[in-house]
Amino acid sequence: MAFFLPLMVTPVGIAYMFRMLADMQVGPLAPMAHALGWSIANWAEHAWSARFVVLIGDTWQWTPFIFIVLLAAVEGQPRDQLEAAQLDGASPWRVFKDITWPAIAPSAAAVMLIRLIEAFKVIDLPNVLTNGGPGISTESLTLHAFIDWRTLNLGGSAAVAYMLLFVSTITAVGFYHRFVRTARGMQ
Amino acid sequence: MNAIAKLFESRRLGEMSPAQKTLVYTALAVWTVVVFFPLYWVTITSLKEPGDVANGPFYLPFVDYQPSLSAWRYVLEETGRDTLRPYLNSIIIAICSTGLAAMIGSMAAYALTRIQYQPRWSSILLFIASVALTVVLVTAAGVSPMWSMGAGVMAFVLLVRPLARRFTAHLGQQRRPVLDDLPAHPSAGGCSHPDLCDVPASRPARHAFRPGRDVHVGEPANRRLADV
Repeated sequence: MAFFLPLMVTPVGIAYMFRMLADMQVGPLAPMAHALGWSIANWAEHAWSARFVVLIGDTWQWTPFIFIVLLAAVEGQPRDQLEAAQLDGASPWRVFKDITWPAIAPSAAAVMLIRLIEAFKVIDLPNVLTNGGPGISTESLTLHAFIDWRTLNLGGSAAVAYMLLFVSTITAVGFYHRFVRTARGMQ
Repeated sequence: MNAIAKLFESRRLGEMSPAQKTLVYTALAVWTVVVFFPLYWVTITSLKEPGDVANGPFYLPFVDYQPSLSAWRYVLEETGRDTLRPYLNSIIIAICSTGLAAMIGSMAAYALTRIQYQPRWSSILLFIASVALTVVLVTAAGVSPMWSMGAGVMAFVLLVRPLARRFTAHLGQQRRPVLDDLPAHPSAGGCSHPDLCDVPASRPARHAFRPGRDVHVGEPANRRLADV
């Protein structure tokens, strides 16, 4: 249950948290960054390092979701097949590949699909962490739509929102057909 | 050599070897730090004065800096009313939206699995055309919304059946055999003797046969079973 805590923190809180952690002047990692000479370069000034920090924050928050769903899937797996395979001397990899994975594949594919759709809609982290910067390098489509809406460009905001809908729908449908249906077929 | 081999051997079936245990617990310890350190940092930051935050990093309360409840006092006492309102909003929205989503989602899931739905393409397109007609009547022709909606509904009701007869292509899930569609077979769950069952055993059963309760007078096989 303790590993589930990051999912309960609000995304804005996580963005502030990672902003504090990634502060190379007064953050907790500052002494290490000084020792390694990283404090001279500010991560927020470079597109890829800023993207990396957003990525880390989002991963930190959503890993428990995948974890809890897959944990439930693994625990729901019948024990008798595992024990029979172990008695027959199957290697751990073989047990995973031929018994565990087919049993949890539908849950894994479904949770990946949910996470994928959710990840497309990220707005809080880039907004609070980097404000979409440097420039617009960490701006997500949702943040872009929000900025358009705040600047009263309502048509542009709607168009961007629809673009996101198309992108996420096409990706999700592709993922569903490629992985979720395949995973169901494995059972 | 023997000692090293023991490190990689599990003592019991399904148990990890000492080397595996070490690896797993090390990974768990690292992940615990990864999960808890940011939360710890936020907690101790909430117990810092603004000066302690700006002049940091300070890691340990009472050692590196003197903790203060001023931030909590500000949030809960000085601006308590402003904090409470969003708190209540969050609670109300979270509980209501979760309940509604669970209720509607479960009903939709039940409906999709148990109820056959195959709306015809002609009906779907006619519905869209009726909505478009309503919008056109309101915006272009200047008809009042009530009359336009009435015209839209009327057009839909009048045309839906003739169109459905003419165009049979439909959308929706394939009809899957549900339990009620399967032929009854008394052998399942009770009637296992071939002499007592008139229905061939290869046919699937609708429900488990309950001796004494599922006897139907019109069926000779069941009558014979009842006699037994």
